[in-house]
Amino acid sequence: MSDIKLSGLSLIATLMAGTAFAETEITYWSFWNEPEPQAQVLKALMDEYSAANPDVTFNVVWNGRQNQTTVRNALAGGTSIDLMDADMDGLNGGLVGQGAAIALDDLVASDSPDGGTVGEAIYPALLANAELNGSVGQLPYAFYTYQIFYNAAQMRDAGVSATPATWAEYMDAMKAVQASGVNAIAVESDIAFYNINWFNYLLARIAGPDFVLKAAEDKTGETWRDPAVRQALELEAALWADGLIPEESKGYQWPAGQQTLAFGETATELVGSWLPIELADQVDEGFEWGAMNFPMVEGGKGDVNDTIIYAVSFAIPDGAEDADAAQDFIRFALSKSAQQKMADDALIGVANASVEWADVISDSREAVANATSLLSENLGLKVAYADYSSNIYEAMHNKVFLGQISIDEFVDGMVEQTKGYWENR
Amino acid sequence: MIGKRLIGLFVTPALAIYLCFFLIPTGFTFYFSLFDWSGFGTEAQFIGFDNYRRLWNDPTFWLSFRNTLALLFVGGFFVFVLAFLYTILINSGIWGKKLFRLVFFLPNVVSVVALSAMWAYIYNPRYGLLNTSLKAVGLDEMGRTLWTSPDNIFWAMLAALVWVFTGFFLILLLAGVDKIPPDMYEAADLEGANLWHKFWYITVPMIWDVMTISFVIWIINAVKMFEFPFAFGFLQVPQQLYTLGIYLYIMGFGQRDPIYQLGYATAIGVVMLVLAFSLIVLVRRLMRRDQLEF
Repeated sequence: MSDIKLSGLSLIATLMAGTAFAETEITYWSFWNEPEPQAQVLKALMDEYSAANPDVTFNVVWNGRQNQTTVRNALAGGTSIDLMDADMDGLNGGLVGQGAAIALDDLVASDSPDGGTVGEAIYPALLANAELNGSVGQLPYAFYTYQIFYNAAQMRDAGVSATPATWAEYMDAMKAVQASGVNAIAVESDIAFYNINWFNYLLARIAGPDFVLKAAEDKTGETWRDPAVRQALELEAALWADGLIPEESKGYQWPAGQQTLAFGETATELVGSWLPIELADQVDEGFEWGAMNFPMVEGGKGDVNDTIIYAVSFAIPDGAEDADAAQDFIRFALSKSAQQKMADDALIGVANASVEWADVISDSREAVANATSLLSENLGLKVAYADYSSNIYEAMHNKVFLGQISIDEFVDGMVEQTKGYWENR
Repeated sequence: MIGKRLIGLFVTPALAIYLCFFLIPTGFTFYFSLFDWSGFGTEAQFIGFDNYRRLWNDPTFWLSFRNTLALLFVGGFFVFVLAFLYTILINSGIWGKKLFRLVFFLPNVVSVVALSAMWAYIYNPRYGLLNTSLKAVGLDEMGRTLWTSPDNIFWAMLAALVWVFTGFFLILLLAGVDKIPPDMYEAADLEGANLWHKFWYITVPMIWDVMTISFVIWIINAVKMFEFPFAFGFLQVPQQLYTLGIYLYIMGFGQRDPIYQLGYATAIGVVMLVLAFSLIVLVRRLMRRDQLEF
């Protein structure tokens, strides 16, 4: 049976399976802004769901990225919210981590409209990230991958035919791009959470994905003196020293760096899989996107298939009046047909492993399918110690990455600040 | 007696509003600063002055504090020097007084996000207006400056901020100047006073009260400065641009990170309040003098 027929059947089954709810209004506070394509897809899904369940309507508040903060304040003021969404790490460090969301383990184990359970339909590595302290308090439905995105035509013109698997191959490829007359790598100087991915990936490849958390949790701070840190920073510094990142990038404010990709002046950028969508209106017709995994560092302990992601999840605040209806909607939103619509119309990666992604991010889907594990932002630091992650780790790294401090100053600074952080906690 | 009762009657509504919407919330702010509280739910742990002890040892707090002081004093210096300079020029009888007033005030009616986007274009290292103009007049070396690099971004933001605020204080000062009787300047002209003499010996003393209130408004604005540096930082405010207001927001509300330390953020708010209050008292004491009537 063709995929289309299967999708059609699953949609009918999903709608028919709609649980009967008496006059229910699901209050949904959204992570998206209303004009965004993701919001438009969710609107369409809500309409579809209401058509199948005429007693269920939605009251939606489109809050945008500060949704969780707004939800927190509203909950504190006594507002009842049945369903909300936010980024996965944010939820694990916020609503879910603070015990203010209901457990969704039963929903994960419940039947999916497509057969099997809801949990079985989701990428196992992604679902694993949603688990906190042995329980699932959020269900991811969409996500982005951090990879090296590139202009495939420029890579070909530079003679780069094979995807670089190691750091040495990667450097050779970037030098070839540079020699072809195009800048090799774009960066945004002011976006520390973009730039930190160089360090995150290098440390994950050299010392393994647990290293950063281990270093942050070392109350003496001395783990930051590990040779892996220095090696990672020296590899980063070589990108600047070899001219692969233009010196003037130090003055780029977002989106100045990524625009150089759109203008055909730069070939690659390490960034989230939202880049092709953000630049969709600026690139020439026929612009050919590619994305490669961050290369392996020779002799490292990590895995080249580990991929850092940024996921968006549904959660149900504790005390939600219509929690059952909200769970049923999540079940529907994670069905194959609903997820396919999200992937096709919003051009975003989706949680349901059986869904194909849009062409521009097909390499990202491949990375996810082959991933040994999907790593959270800042390798778990953002969830465990958000203030350390933002105020110390990202801030200090941006200084060394942009040459404001030396590698020695970075190492000494991290030791001192980590020690101070724990003494001051 | 009746007069006193009547005064009480008229003052009561204003006092009640002030009490409910200012004094009580301020009291609660201090109260919450004594707790470790994420803001999720009502569970908060009383920790006494621990948040203040943490602030004392927090390098990011001191960075934000230094930036706020730089903004207050360096920014304030340039804002008022320029505002006074324009006041002299505009009041010197040049053509188009109203037009200039409008032009200088215009940034205050434009959205902060639009202004920051405009300045991002001005500072862009490749095609920005500033570097392109510098190169066009032969200043090639200066035209290669990375104005928004980590070393320069705070001062670049401050320059833009001075541009925004100068117009506002210019309007305040001009409003004061407009009230000065013209015969004072005429008499000074007859005595052979130059522009500077007229400004220093007539304008400044006559608008002393306006200057005092302008300084007070600037202190309040500078201590709680948030919008412009925040918008200037676009997706993620670089730490170089942190002010006390931004750090409060980051710690209490997160930006991209689930920090959610509302008790700690509230302690920053209390420090801001104390700082603004102390500076205002100081300025008012330093600038106290007999009322001039004319």
